[in-house]
Amino acid sequence: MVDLRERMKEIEQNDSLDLWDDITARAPSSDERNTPLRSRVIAGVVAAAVAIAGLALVYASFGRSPTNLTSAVPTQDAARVDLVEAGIRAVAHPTELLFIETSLCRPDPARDCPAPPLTDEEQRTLADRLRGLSDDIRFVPAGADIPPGESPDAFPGIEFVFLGIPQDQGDGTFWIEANVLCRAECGRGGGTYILEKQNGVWTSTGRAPGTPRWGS
Amino acid sequence: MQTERPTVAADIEEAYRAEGDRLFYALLAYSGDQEIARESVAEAFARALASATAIREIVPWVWQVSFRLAAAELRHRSRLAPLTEIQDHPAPVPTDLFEALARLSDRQRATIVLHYYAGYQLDEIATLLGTRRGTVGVHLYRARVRLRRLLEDHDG
Repeated sequence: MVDLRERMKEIEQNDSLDLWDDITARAPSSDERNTPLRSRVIAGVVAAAVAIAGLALVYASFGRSPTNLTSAVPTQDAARVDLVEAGIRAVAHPTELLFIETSLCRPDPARDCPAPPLTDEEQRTLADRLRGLSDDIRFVPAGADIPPGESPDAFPGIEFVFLGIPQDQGDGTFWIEANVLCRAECGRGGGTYILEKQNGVWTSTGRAPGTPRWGS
Repeated sequence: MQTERPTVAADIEEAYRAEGDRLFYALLAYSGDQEIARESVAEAFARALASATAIREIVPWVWQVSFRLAAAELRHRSRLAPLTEIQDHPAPVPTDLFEALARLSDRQRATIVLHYYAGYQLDEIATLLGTRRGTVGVHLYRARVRLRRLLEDHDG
């Protein structure tokens, strides 16, 4: 009987590669120089959506009671994963492959973020609960991590959902920014959605009034 | 509230020094191509440097990103190959193990390399590949059966 663990040792050769100089050389402008055009197009669309959604958050913050921007568990009876699930369901469609951004930090996931990204446990919960939307749900730290061969704006049957931090409105509802990218005419778009608990389940009940939206 | 210390460039270099070679060889076994393995490692760590503070656990992050980069490149080349008959990139390391691995599907090869070479458990592989534990289990079972048969046939 072949011992696979033993045989796998053959993979490792004696040579040691030092790529660190190569890594540091390409790091400062890595996205600019190495990301394929298709991904840069996505990044442009994402940036536009993010800018709009960022405005929505700014507008939403005026004249309202203080919102909870930092907690992974916004209130005792609202687990963040429940609110995120409702946000995803507000924009995503049944699809073959669904990418979900783990950062809840709009506009820029790479910046210092007031909320932690989706935890492994939250990701597992979402993957389990959202099976009806897709058989293949994958989590990515940011849109730039989607492989070029699986770009949602280039291939049918692929969607990318990215969200903001659920905001407690202090009246029993939450608002969450939610966006979906996919090929043209797939229903791409997003905005800020109202979440209400209905029959014990957090559900989107429509777009938040007075907040920007985008989409085709 | 973010309680963990943000990842910084020094953490990434430390992760590269600790994991770089192992990751390279895992990617070499997965892709069968030294160029893809080298590029995927370098690009994944470069991306990590570019967004260090947003990464909570650097090692699983670079494994995940590098395998996805390699998978995307393999798919890209498979689409181009029939048209251009690309032959100029480095050939796989010529051993019966690599030949046998090359006969597995991409997912089977990824799971077998990540489990038997890199030492990841099913849950961890599921996270790395962005799929479910059960799916990984099926790929691993089929890969194990097929690989053993291929290697036993070769060994005579």
